[in-house]
Amino acid sequence: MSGEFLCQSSSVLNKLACFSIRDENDVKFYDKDIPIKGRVFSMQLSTFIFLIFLLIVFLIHSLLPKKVRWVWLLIASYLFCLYADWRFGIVLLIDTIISYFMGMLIFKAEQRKKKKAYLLSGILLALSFLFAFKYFNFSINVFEDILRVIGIQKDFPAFKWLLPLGLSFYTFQIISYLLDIYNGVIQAEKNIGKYALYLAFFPKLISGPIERADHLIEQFSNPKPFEYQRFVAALLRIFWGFFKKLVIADRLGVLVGTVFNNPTDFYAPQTIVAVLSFSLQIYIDFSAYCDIAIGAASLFGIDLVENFNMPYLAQSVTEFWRRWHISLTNWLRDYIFIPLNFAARRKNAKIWLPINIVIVFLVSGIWHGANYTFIIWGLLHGIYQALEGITQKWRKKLDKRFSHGISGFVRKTIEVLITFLLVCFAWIFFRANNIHVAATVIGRIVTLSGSLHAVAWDMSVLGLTPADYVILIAAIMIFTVFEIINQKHNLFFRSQSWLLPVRWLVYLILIFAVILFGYFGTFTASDFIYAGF
Amino acid sequence: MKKKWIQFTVFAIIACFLFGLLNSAASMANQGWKDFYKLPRNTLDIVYMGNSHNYQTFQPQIVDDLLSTNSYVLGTSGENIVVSYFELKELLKYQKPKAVLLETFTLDFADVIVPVFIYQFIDANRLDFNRLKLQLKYYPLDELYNYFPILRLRIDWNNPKSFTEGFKSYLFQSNDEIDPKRGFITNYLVITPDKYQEAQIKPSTASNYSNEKNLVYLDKFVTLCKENDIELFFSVVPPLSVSGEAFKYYVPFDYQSYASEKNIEVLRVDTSNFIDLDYYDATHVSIFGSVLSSVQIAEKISEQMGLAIDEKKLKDYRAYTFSEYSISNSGNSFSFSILPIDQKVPFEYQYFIKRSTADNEDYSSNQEGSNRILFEVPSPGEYIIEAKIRNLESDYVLTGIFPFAYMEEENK
Repeated sequence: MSGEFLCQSSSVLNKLACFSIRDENDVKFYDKDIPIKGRVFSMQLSTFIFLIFLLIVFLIHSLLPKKVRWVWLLIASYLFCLYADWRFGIVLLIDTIISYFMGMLIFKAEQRKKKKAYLLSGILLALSFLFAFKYFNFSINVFEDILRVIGIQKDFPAFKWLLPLGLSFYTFQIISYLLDIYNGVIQAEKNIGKYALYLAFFPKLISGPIERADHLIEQFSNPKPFEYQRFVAALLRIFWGFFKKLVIADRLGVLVGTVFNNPTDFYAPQTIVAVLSFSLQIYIDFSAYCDIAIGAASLFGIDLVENFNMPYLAQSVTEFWRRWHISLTNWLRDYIFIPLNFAARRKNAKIWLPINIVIVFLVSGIWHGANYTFIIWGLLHGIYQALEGITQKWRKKLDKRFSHGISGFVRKTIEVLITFLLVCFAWIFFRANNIHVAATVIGRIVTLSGSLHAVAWDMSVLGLTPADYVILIAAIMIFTVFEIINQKHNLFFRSQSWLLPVRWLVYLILIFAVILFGYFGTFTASDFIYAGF
Repeated sequence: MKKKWIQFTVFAIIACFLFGLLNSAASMANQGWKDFYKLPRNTLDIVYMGNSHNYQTFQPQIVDDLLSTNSYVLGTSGENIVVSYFELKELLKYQKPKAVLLETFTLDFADVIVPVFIYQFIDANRLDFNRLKLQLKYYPLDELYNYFPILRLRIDWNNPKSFTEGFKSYLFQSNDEIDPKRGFITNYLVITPDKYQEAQIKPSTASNYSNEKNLVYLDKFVTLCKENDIELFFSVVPPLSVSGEAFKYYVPFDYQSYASEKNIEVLRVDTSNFIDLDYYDATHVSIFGSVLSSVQIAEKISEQMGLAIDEKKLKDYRAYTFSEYSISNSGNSFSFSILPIDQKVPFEYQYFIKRSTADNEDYSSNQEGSNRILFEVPSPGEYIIEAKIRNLESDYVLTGIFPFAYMEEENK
């Protein structure tokens, strides 16, 4: 793309589009297609200022009469959004108003045809915002690439703007809301304020979970009454999220960044460590965000859906997606996969089922980011699952024939490992800034480059000190044990029945582990990976 | 339910207490600001304010000895007038000095040299809006965690000693004593001859920044002094040169015109006779220069404020003027000499020759003698001569450190 920056034009539209950049640091978001340098001062959930904000919102919330508490949450949510940039709030407001009225029109329309027209208009309008801010530049890139392939060299000007906070997530919420009204699952919400809060609710604004209207809106009118145990459990969950994010994920991020930013500088063993580390980092990072989001919402008596269920214990990629980013998987299943299958019900299902799976995950890849690497990542997952479906019978036969004498545990472990490796391979594309980087990383691993040299095994050059490795290993072990136990016994609640000195000691260790071992301080807490979507 | 809330509150108090403890241990507050709060209220007569150029120049011990005043030095590294203004506001909550000397090097900075230095002031154990306002000037709201030392500090767990020792010293330190230097920070080290030459030749850094915004704070500073009946002086100690990336914010301020306009007296230290001995680096004086500067400033304050000066002590302090020093060698045999201007003054000299390592303990030779000594060093390397010099007619001991090297080639 050319270097012309439309932000410098006098056009009002361009000025509105050019969100403020306050300093020249590199963008910390994970949005790889934004060709600008800048930093948005958003209140990331892993920050101290978010804790202060949460405390203030909670205190005021507690003092208000129950009937108006949702109003305060709406105000707080918009303040949260405006803090990043006032224009993000404008986009959210416009999107909210348009989708609210489209919902009402769909609900009130009597004829199916009209309902459909309003539905399509509403979805197209919501998607147009998403397209404009997230995919427009990428589309131009693709168009330029196509022209280049046919021998035409042409650079088009780029729009220099940032992705409004949470746009990808609340766009999907809008679409699910309109579809649910169309399908008669829910009625249109009459109260525009509560609808606005459904989209803007700050704990889930940045990176989900992707909530359904019937699950969330009702809770604004009837939140759970205050319970001391739930309050403490919420706080514990928030601090557990901080621990995961600041002690583990941000540390892993240093190692991953060191290798992925300069893949040619490293050998196969180091690259493999980086890829495995990224697999851990993205899970811990995103699940940490969800812990903080769910904990924060719980303080206000609101339950958000769980988004993870120990995904790396999945025995197939299909099962992985039932355990990973569950709210997204459910959304894709309900609003793309099922309708596609329904549309193809009279055609050859054997052919269309795998095709639909690939389409769904292609959409997922595109949704995650406007870059060829995300598309490949999505396609890979689609292909994995399509092949799983196609080969299911054949694999069962093979299993019966060859697995005599192999215990169920060993079989499960092998399946888990294979699934993990497949997912790790796909993560390479998710993390790489471009295809070239991904290809370099894969090349390094496949050729086992330098593996025979001692220098290839030197992990001290990956940006972490020996103490960091010790802290990481210890923290990951604690994390693993906690997650396994927490699956069966909700430790956020169960721990409150332990002996007072014991539980206080554990709570203090958790809090001060974050303070003393957290990878922040002279650096700001790095943004959550999923905040770029 | 009440019991639960009591438990919660007690837990929160314990957590806050531990958090406060860790913050105190990780504090970056400088000694001057730490000790400031131990001073009895409204007892200071004179306060010297400014950045390191100020607190490494003026010795309250000397000025107070000469003028029978009670003075103190306040400041942070690389500060500009914005920080000085907030420091003055804090000062006035606890003290009502008669005079404030604002060192003009502070006025020459469009911005603080390194923002993190403001914590030398902010961390001095007081949570107040004054400090919070200063914090927010340099760090945005989403970096508010910087306000707390333990959150700002990423502990190097490969070498936790620096943190654990800070923690231990905080826990076991005596809290009541005030450092007798009263905010003054000594530059024992004397600039080497080659760096002195270099400093004199280097041109000053040209800056693209502007000091205009800071004028607002200078005006506020002046107004605040007037409102509190404080006599404000500008003190000037000209540096040798100002250059390098560290001084990219250096924008020389026309303090003379400003002072004339606002009726502020300028107390300028005459450095025309300063030699290499009197400098620590291009922008700071050494302990030798500090003695001379302190004596001069005491004389000027005496003149301006009509304070009586102890003539006998003045003569004793003036004796700490030296015309030259030299270090020379033949092989591993070295000679060191330092020449007082007034050779009739009875000085006693004590020398320690040490290896120039962090603990300086590897090799140490203790010698007493005259202003000239001969000594040998065991092997090539970097060394220092620590010279303690006392005018026998005074209690003041001047300690200077002179670095030198014994090069291997000289052995051939």
